[in-house]
Amino acid sequence: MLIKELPALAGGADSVVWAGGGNQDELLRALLPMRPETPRRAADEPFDPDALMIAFVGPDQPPDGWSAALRGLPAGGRLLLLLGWPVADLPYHLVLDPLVGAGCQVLQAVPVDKANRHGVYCAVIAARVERLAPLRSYLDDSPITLDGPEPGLPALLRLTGEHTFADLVVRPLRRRLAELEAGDRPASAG
Amino acid sequence: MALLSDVEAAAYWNERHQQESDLRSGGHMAFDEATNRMFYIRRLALLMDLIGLQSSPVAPLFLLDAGCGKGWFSRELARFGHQVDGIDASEVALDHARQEGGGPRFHRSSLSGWRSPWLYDAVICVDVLFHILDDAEWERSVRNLASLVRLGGRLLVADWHEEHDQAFGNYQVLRGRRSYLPLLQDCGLRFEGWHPYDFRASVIGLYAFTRR
Repeated sequence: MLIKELPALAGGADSVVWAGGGNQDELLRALLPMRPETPRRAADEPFDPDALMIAFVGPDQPPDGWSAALRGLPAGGRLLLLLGWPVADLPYHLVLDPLVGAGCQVLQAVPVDKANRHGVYCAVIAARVERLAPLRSYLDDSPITLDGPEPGLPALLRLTGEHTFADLVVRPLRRRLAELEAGDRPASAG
Repeated sequence: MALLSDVEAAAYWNERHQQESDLRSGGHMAFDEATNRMFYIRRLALLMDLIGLQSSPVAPLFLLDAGCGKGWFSRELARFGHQVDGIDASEVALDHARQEGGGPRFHRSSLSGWRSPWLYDAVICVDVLFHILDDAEWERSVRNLASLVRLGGRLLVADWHEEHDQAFGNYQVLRGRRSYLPLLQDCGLRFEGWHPYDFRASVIGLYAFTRR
């Protein structure tokens, strides 16, 4: 997915609230190349429902700046979180805790192309919710909802079931990957 | 006209894949190779619309091409960056598919017999189910393919859009809405629509279902 496709995936950005991290000017140019005049609001201003909160988190960024701003997100408010780690190495525990702590649901997590240009390897679309928001499909560029206004019990049973089984079958793969990586390393001289 | 038995049908497909040209063998026998190329591309474009226009080399979509034959759709979808498993019952077709390479993994399996530790973002079954002549095996196949679709994933199966089922010749049984819709609703899938090939006089199109 191109970085400029992300604002539409997040539901649009009539104005943006930069919540911290990265080079704000460069990233906004990459995100909104056709709309450089998009109004920017400060994180401590009252949040406009049509605004999109944006933050960058990466290896060299303190994790707490954006999460403080996140607590000001009202119910229904949307967040586009840009991540500066390669997908295969993504330490998602660093962002999952603050998101859940602020009452946000991860709606979509997508890989981003051309990270060498802007340093964004993947992105998360999240929203502050009071009840579960409709689920979305992976890599769907015009997000479709899988259920009604909120996931029903069958969808939640399916979701937790898939998570549990995937958690099981990924374990031998992680072990195999560790073995392969260990095999790639040169034997120590000692 | 009596329908082919399972053994006769398997022999028919092996022989057809052995004797016919690359596209015609798994495509439309009434068309020459050039017309079949148009037919394949038309169906590929429809698949693109229904699977989506995004891909990622680092976190790809996982697709199952059920009844892949010589693997044309599998290879093209793999060229889009997707991770594709192709399954087919014909060893002759799979030998050809493996020789072509191109990224997909090919396995010999019936549609009802494929087992996987992973679910798929999309399971496609292009012009295969109406060649399963036995109704019980057809139902086992549809149920198994549906079970392989992850939450939010899609099942795309080709057949006609009439209400009823009807046999044509001795190796085709077209099945209609009355067969697909209740069965797949029972499997937890939502019917999204039927998309006709709109190719010459073809009455076939893709049923699209989403795992909800």
